[in-house]
Amino acid sequence: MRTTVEKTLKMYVGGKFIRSESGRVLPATSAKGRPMNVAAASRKDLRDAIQIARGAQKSWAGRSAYNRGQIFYRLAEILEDRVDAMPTSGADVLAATDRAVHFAGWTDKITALLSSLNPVAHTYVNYSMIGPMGVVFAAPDPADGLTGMVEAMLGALLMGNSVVLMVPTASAELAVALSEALAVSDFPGGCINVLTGDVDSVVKVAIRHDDLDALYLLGDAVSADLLEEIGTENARVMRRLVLAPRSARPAPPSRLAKLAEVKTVWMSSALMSGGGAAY
Amino acid sequence: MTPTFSPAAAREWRSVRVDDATVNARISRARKRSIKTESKERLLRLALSMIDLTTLEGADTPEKVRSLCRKAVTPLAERPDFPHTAAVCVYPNLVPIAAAALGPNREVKIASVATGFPSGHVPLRLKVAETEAAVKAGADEIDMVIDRGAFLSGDDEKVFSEIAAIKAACGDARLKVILETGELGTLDNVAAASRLAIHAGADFIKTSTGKISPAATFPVVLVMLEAIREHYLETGVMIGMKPAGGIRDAKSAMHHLVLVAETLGAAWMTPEWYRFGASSLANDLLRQLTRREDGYYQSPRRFSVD
Repeated sequence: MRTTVEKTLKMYVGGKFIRSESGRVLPATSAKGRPMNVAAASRKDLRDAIQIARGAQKSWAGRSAYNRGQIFYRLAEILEDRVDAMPTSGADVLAATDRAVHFAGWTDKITALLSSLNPVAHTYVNYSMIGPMGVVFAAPDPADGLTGMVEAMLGALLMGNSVVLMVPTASAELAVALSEALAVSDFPGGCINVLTGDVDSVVKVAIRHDDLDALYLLGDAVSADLLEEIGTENARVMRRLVLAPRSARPAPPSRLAKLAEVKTVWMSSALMSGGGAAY
Repeated sequence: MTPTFSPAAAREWRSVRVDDATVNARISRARKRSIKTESKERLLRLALSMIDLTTLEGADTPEKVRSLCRKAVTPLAERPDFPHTAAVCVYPNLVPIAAAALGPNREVKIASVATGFPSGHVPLRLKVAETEAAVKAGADEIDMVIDRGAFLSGDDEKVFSEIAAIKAACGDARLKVILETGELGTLDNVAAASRLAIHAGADFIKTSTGKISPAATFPVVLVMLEAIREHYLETGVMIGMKPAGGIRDAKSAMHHLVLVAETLGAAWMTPEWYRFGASSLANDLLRQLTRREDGYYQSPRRFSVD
């Protein structure tokens, strides 16, 4: 008989697998029924993750839509390959895989769909373009498994944001399996970060962090009481709060639009219409 | 009185040997110090008041220097109680702009780099002329670079006489001597260059130009502090210290201050004798200071880009 290799499940921040800076862990049980320790994200872990995400956001958004789509697709390939190794049901892994393919397809189309040329009654050209918001804190519904995590992070990543994904301790084993897939999917370090621990306590810190652009909460990611506090605090600092149902269906474009900023440009059209000599 | 070069003294400086293991042990001890609450607040303010707010880019414009000066005087508009920085540090050509922006009764000093910054590979007469021009234009402090090529080839006399000549050209301006430790290679060399610079007339010794990495690493800073301490114990003369380059966050600034306090003592814990050559450090200090009052960290976006 051999002794199994016990490990503390780590978080994925800045392309690296890290323990909590606090050294704290929370107990959990693996899919095979073994007890394990899970890193518990502290306030400082969150701050560090947001700082790293902020640093990575510009270059992520600056990649071509085609390239981002390729990376999403690569994630789908890896998830599908690992269907039997993931600590969740095969159906969940395949649904997550399909979700990644779904969002991969959207990368080079969503901008065209959500941007517009606006009618104005004067000599201006007026158009609205969508762009990333910045750093998004995303939390899936704990019951949605791998599909929920993939849904929460890819929706925000698709719009050019960088993401801090918060996963509860009970799903940490799955989060680590996802992180291991992310680590080999060509995602540049820092654009997607995965924290594990007590979601409510970390969210309480997140809503008071000044350098976070949006919260994206799906299903019952946080408790109902906390949701009220989040709403109040977000209204106070005018931070975007995107609430969404569970992840049975992928985010429709109307929700994706909420994970983006709209920039409207007015440009004089006098030169274009006034230059009669050209005709 | 111009200091004179003595080969025997130079041999002594060159014979200094630094024990890496001891240096690292002392640094790791200093960096484990936890500084909290009131002490942290005081040190943050002190660090802010020790900054030489620096812009040394080819793309520096007069307006950039003016805005740097405004920031030096009032680091954060909504908090006039925060201390001003010790100085602004600019290229000689931009000294008149800084002097005009800061006014005649300025509390913020003007430091100018000189002597063919950053390489130092120009003839001595040009170095002297550049220094004199900078002082005439209103510089209170001159940051000169040593000729690393001469130092590394063993020509200590050339390095020494150049520092002495620049010191003479400085007049009343204080002279900071940049060793550019990132190019010196070993801690032994840093120890030798520190002693050489101090004996040749430096008022301050400074780690780096900021153009070379690594710059102000903890081991290098400790070795330089030890040279200052040795000089003080022998002669009773205080020499200032200025780490520059690579100090970007409040935490490492705190650790540098711990190192000074432990090596040189409280007398050096003033802008008169200790400086940070930095630009982005200021914003992180401001962020930490406002956090002490507001209870949360403000986004780096809320602070001016300088």
